[in-house]
Amino acid sequence: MNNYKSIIKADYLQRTRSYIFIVTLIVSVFFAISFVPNANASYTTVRIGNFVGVNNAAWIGHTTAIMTSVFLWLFGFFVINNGIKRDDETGVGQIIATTSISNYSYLLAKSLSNFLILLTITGVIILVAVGLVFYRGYEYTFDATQFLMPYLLATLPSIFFVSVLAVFFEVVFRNKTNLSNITFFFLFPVIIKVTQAVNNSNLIWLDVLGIKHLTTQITSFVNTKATTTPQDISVGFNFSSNLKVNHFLFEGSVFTTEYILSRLLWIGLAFGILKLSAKLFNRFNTKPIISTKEKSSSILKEQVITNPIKITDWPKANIDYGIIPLVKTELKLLVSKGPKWFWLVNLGCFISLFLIPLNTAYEIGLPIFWFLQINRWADLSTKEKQYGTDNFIFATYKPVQRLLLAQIIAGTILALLLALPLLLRYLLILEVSNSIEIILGALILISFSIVSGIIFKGKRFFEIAFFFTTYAIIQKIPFVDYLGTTQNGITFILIQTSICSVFLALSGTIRKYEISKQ
Amino acid sequence: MELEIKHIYKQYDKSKFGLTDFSLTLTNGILGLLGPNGAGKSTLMKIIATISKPTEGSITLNGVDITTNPNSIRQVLGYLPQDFGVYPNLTGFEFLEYIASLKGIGGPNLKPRVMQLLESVNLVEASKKKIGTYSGGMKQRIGIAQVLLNDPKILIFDEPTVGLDPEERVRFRNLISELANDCIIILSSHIVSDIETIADEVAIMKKGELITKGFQSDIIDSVNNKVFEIEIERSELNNFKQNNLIINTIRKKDNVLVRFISENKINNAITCVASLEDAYLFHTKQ
Repeated sequence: MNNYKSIIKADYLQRTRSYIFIVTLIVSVFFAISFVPNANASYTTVRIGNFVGVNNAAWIGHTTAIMTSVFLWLFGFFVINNGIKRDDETGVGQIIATTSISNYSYLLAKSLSNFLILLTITGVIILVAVGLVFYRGYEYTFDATQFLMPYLLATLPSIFFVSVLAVFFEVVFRNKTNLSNITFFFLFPVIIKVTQAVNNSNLIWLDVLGIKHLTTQITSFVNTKATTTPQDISVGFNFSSNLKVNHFLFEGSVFTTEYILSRLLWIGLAFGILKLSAKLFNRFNTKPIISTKEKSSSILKEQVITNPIKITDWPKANIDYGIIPLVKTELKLLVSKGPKWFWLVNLGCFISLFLIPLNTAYEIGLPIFWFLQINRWADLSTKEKQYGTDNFIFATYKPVQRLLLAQIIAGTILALLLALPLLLRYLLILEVSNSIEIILGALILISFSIVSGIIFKGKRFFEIAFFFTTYAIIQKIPFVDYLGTTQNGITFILIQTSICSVFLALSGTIRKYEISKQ
Repeated sequence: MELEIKHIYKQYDKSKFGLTDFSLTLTNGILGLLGPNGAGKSTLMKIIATISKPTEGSITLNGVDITTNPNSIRQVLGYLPQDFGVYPNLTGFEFLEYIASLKGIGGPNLKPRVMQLLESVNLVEASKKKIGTYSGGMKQRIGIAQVLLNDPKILIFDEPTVGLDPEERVRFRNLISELANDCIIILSSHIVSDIETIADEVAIMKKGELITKGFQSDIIDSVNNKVFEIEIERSELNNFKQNNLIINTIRKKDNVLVRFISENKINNAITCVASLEDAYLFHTKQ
């Protein structure tokens, strides 16, 4: 037990003593506040027809627990899905592999550490929610059972399951983080669909998030006590400019044995997945990046040549401060990132941008196509640190003005090449404004990946934010729409240009500061 | 070419200093930097390479302050860090082309120059293979090759011989010796013999301070007639260690042959010819 404690503690401290975790907590506070809209808000989070609950402990406890379950599935996965990878990258994995710890114990410790991270975030959300009961509350009484039980029965099993799932994904996808992220991106909507499709009376067991029972209880409450007309529930950020809602006093849910058992079942299933992961875990015996055949042939050719060195015979180097060769190499690095077969997927997406309806291509196709390249964008400004080339690259001539510019140009070229079918289609119908928005969208995407990589010295923040942004764009949430799929016109183009300029200016300034202050 | 380091300090926090009042003037030739771990060798090299900034003090190259104008040295700098990485998806040739672009090198001579460099580090055969397939020694040699891309006049090598086999180490030394005539070369190594065979001058550092600097012969002179060898019983070794500065020990059948430094000769001890390693240990272990 002490061994588990030590591993979990070390892993937890390693992750929480970082910039990104502080930002995660700040973002969590922001989300927690937004889960309970104020009276004048133009959105709702949990709504039954046009009914929302009065802000009391039961309503806030239920809605924030439901939203946290969804939020931490979506957001939490990306926060925690690098525990094993980090051990691999730092070389600690090689040491762990030689110890007596079993695969199961190691993976269980990693899962519990993941759980602890998500539990910390949940704790922050609960604290904010308690504050909101009193700040935005209807009454100053606090029904602790109705406030906390949804967290206990819905959120905690849900985050435990996603903690194990993150470990399972790491084991299955190994160092193919991009593939893991993309698989999860497509898995999440399936989970949500299953949750929505679950009929309370018989298929409650299929709801991994554990929210269906709560939403059914709320809906029944409204349908029996507030209105005689059956109403459907909607969960998530629903924006509406002329929102008119009726209020009802929610008194709480009945937590049935069946519901409690269904939650225990998911915890049990998580342990089953952990068992399977232990069987599949390669124990840090990672494959070389290049095939063994190629590796052995190159090593065979490592022969000692004993020609004398005549430096005086070497052709003199010519000065050339142009950035075109840098752009070319940056493009090459972007293109060669990831498996080659993935370009077949990209080809399919590229062709489909020509074929699918124009609006769908713009609103869903392009955001997803760009999201599929997440690893390439994330690499742009982080690869120097990741591969350890920063020490000599930052000692070269004008690294900020030349290298950073080359990275921005290369990234934008690739993003626009991928968007070419859509750009051509808009130009053919003389929709110049949409084309400009796509070009500026590409620049925002690239500059954001660069600035976040520089500020957070890694890919995590960008990966999480880009996942969220793409998901939000598809859900038509307006304020993260960097591509102009929900808004357009000259004002929006000006907003895009300003955002882009801020990101670019920040990138240059911070990188310059970073280099000068090392 | 003159590189002048004046009263450099590098302070990490209130009580932790990487360098303390470090001053040194360098002209063309090879300076070997010696010092135990944490002596500040890499910190000094990073500061000269403009990767890091000193907390106090200045460094001038031919009168131009490189701490305020880093690009002035970057144009003539070749730097091999102690820990460096490579992009595994690029071939050796492509990687050198990339670094050449970063250094502002191009034109028609670039490809032949890269090939010459690859030949000089024995990587012609592997030049079209991805660096991800290279062994540790081959990666180290790619690192050495990138230093020389831009005809540098200031060359900084931080532990360059790590991972090189004996033959490659000899080749590296020859390469460096040929460059030394019109360049300033700073080289750090834990392997004293590497410094001994290449460096014109040697600087010994300890805890961020310069202990001594001079020609090898002068530094070795500081321990002349102070290095001895004596054969003692194994049981006496611990007691002997407490009273003398031991350089090394060789275990024999029943006894131990001890090489040590002492101000006074001990009975039965034999006076030895002092080496740079003796002088280094004398200065750093004192």
